[in-house]
Amino acid sequence: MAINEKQNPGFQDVKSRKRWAGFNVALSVVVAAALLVVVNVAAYYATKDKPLRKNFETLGRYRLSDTAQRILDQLKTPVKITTIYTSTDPERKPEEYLPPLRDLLDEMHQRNNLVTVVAVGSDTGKAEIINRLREQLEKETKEHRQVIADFLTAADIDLPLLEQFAQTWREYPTDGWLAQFNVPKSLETITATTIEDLRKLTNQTRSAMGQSTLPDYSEMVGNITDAISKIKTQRLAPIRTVLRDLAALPERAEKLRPELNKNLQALQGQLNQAVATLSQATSATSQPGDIGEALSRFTAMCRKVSVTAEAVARNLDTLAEGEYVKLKPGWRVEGLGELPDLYRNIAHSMLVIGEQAQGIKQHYTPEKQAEAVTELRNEVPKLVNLLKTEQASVDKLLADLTKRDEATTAIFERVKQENFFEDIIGPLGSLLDRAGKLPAIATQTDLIDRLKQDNIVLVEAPDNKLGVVTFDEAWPVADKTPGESNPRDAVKRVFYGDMAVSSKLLNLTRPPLAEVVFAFFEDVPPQQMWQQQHPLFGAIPMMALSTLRERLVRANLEVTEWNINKQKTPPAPKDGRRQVLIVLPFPWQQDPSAAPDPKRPQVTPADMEQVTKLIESGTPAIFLAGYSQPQYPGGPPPMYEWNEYLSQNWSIGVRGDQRVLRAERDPDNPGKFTLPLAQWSWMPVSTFTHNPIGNPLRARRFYWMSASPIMPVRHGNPAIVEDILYVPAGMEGVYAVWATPRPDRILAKLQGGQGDIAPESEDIRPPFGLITESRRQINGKDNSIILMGIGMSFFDDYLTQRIPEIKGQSVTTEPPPTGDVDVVINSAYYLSGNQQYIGAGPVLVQPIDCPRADMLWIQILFAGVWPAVMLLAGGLVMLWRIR
Amino acid sequence: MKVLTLAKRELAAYFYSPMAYVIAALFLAMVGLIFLLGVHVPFLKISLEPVFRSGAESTLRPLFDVLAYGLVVVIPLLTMRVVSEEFRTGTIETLMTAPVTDAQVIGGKFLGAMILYVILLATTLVYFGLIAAFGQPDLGVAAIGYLGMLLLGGTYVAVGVFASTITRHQLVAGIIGIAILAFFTGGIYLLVLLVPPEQASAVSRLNMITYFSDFSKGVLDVRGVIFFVTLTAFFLFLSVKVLESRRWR
Repeated sequence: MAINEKQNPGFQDVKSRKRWAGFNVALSVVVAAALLVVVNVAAYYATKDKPLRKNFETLGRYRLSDTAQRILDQLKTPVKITTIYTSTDPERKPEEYLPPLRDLLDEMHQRNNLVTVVAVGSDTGKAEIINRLREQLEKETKEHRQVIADFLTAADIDLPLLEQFAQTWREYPTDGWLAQFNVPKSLETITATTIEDLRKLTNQTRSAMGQSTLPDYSEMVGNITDAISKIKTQRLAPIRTVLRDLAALPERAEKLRPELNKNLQALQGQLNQAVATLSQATSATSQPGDIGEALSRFTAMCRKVSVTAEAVARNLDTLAEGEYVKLKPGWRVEGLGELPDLYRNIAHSMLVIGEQAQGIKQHYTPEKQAEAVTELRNEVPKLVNLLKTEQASVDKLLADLTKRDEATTAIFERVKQENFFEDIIGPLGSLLDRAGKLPAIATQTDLIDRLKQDNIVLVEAPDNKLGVVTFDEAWPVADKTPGESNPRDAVKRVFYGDMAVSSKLLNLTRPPLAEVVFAFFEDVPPQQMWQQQHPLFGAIPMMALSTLRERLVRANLEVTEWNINKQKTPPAPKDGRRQVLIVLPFPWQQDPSAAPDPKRPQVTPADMEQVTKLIESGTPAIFLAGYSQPQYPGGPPPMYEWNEYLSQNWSIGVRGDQRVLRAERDPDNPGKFTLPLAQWSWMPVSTFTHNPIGNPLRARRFYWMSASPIMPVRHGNPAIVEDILYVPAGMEGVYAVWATPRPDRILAKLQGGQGDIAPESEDIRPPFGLITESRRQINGKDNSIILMGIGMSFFDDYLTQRIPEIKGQSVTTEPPPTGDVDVVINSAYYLSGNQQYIGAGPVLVQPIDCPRADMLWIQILFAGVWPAVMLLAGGLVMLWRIR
Repeated sequence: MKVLTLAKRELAAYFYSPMAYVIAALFLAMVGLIFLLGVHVPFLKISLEPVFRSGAESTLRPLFDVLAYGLVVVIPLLTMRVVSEEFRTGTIETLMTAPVTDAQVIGGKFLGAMILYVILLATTLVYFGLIAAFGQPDLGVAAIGYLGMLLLGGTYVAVGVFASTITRHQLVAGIIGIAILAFFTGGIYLLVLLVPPEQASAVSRLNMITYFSDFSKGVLDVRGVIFFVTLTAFFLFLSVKVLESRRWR
């Protein structure tokens, strides 16, 4: 546009005009740019709290679920979400798995701008995050690190001292005083083991402290505490006690020697007198009345001998205090036990002989008395001879115990000192005390393990609260569609980030939604119980459910344990939270044909009533059950103890005597099936119904172990029964599922390599439930219980072990079935009235399905012909124009 | 009306020259490649799976996402001649003495290039048809995706026109256009990686792709519309100012 010179009469020369025009243009550009910025910034701030955006997507693939929106709307504190997708694993490619997650997090940020999203796509970035967390962790763990540093210092001091101690034993003379108790070798071995353990622990600790990854201070302190405790209480303290006891032994022996010798001599003398008395009684010069008198004297003498022999036995007991003397070879008398026992036997024998002599005197005729005395006279000298032999042993024993060599004397001089081993044990003991008083670290061991994984999402909330969404949580393995041409293809995954991330937000920013109470009856220490209660017998020990427990806590549920054996009344709800019971099967009951063990408390009807009363007062419950085999061969199948209550009140019951199995049809053998061995323990069934608990889980892969069918029971008090996970009737595809009461026979067939199996007449065929809900009104209010016939699938080992898959000659593994726990989490949400927090499952969208034959012509037509047509059109136009 | 006439003239210039056909063919070949065969350049570590493959999501979204970057090169090549050609051949003098304003000239040029771009974009509808035939595409996502492509393309065309107004050399205009667009896409993306994470969000709001990604997943966000419209208007305004400056320089 021309410059209006009339408006700018002052510009006479061209230069000025140009300058003015230039200024005008520059100003207008600046104004336009400012306007651009202002409009965009204004639009940003105007819509910051309430974005003006509409999602036109109809299938919900890129949209936040209602649950996620609800959680985000309630979020009042800033949360930072960092995606760290840096995996180089071809099956975890960030370019494939990150975009949906990024979309989700962007939507979360749009929904609530307190959510900040940061993406880290390089190992350097990941290292920076780890460093930052490390710094944060180090602030929290100042005392822990000090204890660790002090341990390393103490170990550096202790190791040379222990080496020196070990050297003492290596150099100890083989015929030294202590060798008679085999002490030097034992102490050398124990000290060497202690040195090795301590050295290993210090190396591990130094290495962990020096690594670039997050050090697990809590675990380190735990390891140090365990090791120190073991070294102190099981190694060094016993060594000190042993040596101190042994050091006291020579003096004790010396002190006892006069009395013992005196008693032994007296004993010998008394026995000789007794023998002499008998000899007198039967000598040729003796009169008939003499025998009776001699027998009386003999009886008195026997009593004296008995008393003296008892005194000798007591002397020897005193000598043997501390048990070390008993290690000496001469202590045991072949066929007669230990030395004190020998003298006690003599004491007893002499008493008996004395009584016999008295009896002879009172009841026998003089002629008979003579015969009996002769027999007695033959018996007593045997004892005299035995005593003579053993006296030599006792003398040698006393000599050995009192005769010390120089090396031993030197050791004992040190041992007797008050501060012996204090230089080692003292600092370790003080460390142990300090470690015991350390505060718990907010960052848990489990979290650090998760941080070390590939492709994670880090969620940071105020107060240094951290959460990690692992790859398997955001992208769980998808269900394999029945009828797929090759069901053992590469692992397919479905996106579950919406639920995984939002539940993490929920956990970090909100108080627990409900309280899950595990109700169980455990009457023996858990470890012992675990050994006794094999899962085959239908028991689920609480200690085997730590993964389930931890996942429930992570899902923002408070977890309480109620051992009915110890606490007869149910725990009161914490902070008024709604309770949900998880009832575990009662422990293995004894073989009813065997005599009951009175020490073992049994479950009583009153115990069961505590649980049923709670449920009947309106507390919802989840019953975990599963297959249990007979407890002894040929025994009756165990009954699920809650079946009676469940059938009468909730119209359902579990057939715990039947094991569900899933077999593949044998294409060459109609009506027959084969069962891949891995599927025996990892039975894939994902046929969830539209029930709110199971519906979000429908696209995902689930494996179950030792499942039992759940059957509806018609009863006078009907409840509404609805399956959550079920086996439908008429699965005519590639697979068939049924339940059998004799799984042992099928397993034997499989292990024996005999391929085909088929359902038998006693088997239960589908349809049947595996997880079933039952609802009814109690006092005018709705209550529900959920019976899970797949209860054995929540064992720690099961949830954490990778699933083997046999492909031809090779065995590969799939991620463990951690998702199984989501059934319990969803159930707990549902039963506690928090249904709105059940996460939406993956969106089920029909993917592109183009036959291979069609793909080729499509590629030719649209990647080759279609652009060529465009060129041809251009050519024709050019030709037409030239003409 | 004058703008439409100018646009028609501009469009005719495209179609009477082999350029439109060559660019269209190249564009379709590029789209066909991405859509049906994927792109694998190992030494650049680029690996894109085909959009149309069995088991893939029934959506054009990955295609749009790649096109958003691909058009950074294609559109400046398409628009590089719109004004610089007039400078080079001297026809600009005729145009400037004609009874049209500078804004009408730029408007006409922009509209002409935009119509060509829309025609090119329309050719991708056959791919949507393919997906609809073999999958279950989401119409809402597709519609908003195309709207996003129009808004994004509009801004790209405006930048291309601006680049073309500042030089008489077509190639230079093309390079300038590519450079500006590369800054507003990949450049900002790299900048986000360099700034502290707390500022990354603010910096990323300058990235056209940030706004476009909302559209590609079916989300219509007013901020995105405002961003594209104002940026388009700004570059068109700049173009007018540059053209205007020729009168007094």
